[in-house]
Amino acid sequence: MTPSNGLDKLDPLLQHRSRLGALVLLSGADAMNFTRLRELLAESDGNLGAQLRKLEEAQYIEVCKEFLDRKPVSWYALSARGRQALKAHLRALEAVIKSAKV
Amino acid sequence: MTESHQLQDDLRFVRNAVSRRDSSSRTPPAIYYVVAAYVLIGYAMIDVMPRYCGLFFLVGGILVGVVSAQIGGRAAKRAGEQDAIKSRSEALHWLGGIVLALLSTAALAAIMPPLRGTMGSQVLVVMIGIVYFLGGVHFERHFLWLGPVLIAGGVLVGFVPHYGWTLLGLIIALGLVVPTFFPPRISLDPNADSSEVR
Repeated sequence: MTPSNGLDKLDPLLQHRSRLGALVLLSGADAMNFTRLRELLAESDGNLGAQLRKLEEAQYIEVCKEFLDRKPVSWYALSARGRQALKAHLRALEAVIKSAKV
Repeated sequence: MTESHQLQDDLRFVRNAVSRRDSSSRTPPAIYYVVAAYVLIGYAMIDVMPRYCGLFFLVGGILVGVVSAQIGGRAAKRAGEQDAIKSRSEALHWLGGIVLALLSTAALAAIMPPLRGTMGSQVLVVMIGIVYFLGGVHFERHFLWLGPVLIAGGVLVGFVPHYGWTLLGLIIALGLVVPTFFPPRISLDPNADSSEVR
């Protein structure tokens, strides 16, 4: 495949499957906590934490920390910017898949 | 691995994560226990204290709704997920469906006098059975068979000479409680094909 097939339009930040998975999961809920995302993505604490931090730095997700049963819990939500980026990335993916089929 | 294979692999990973989410989003068992107790007591009252069962269903129904919403909210927080859209659609289905069934039965009874007694209750149970069945289509699979059981029970209860409603209440309560002891198995392998996730 060449970049003209649409690969160049893919968001580099979302080309990591855990980051893409996290954004897709967050797009279907108001918020998810770290444990839930780790359980669904079947990732290790360290890896998921690092990937989520990158998404947070890019302002694709927003983080809210609170205490539940005296334990700190981080809640993650998709930001408007993240939703836009996810939509654009999915459109680009669709174009790549279509061009690969032809 | 080529780029297209890498993309396929990544998309399978994401699809499996979404499948795991869908299959692990279950109604907290405590809600079923509360509804089962409400149904069991209410249906038994039709047989033994028919004068008060209407009041019980009205007041109890409101209480069950409030308690279920509280249990659901707490369980969602514990499970690590907040989804207002899903909560609203579930509330609309159950509350809206049962209120509509109630209003429809009342409207039918207003123009069909034979429905003003026990027969009206039978029609209401049949309609609630349809709401249960649709609950199975949209939310929890075991309502797919519990709905038809309720519909059949609503039709047949008239043929049972004694304690027919109590028996029907017991069957429904068991239908609500028993599936909570057999939760679906969830695969946690990120690379497993989503068809393995029930």
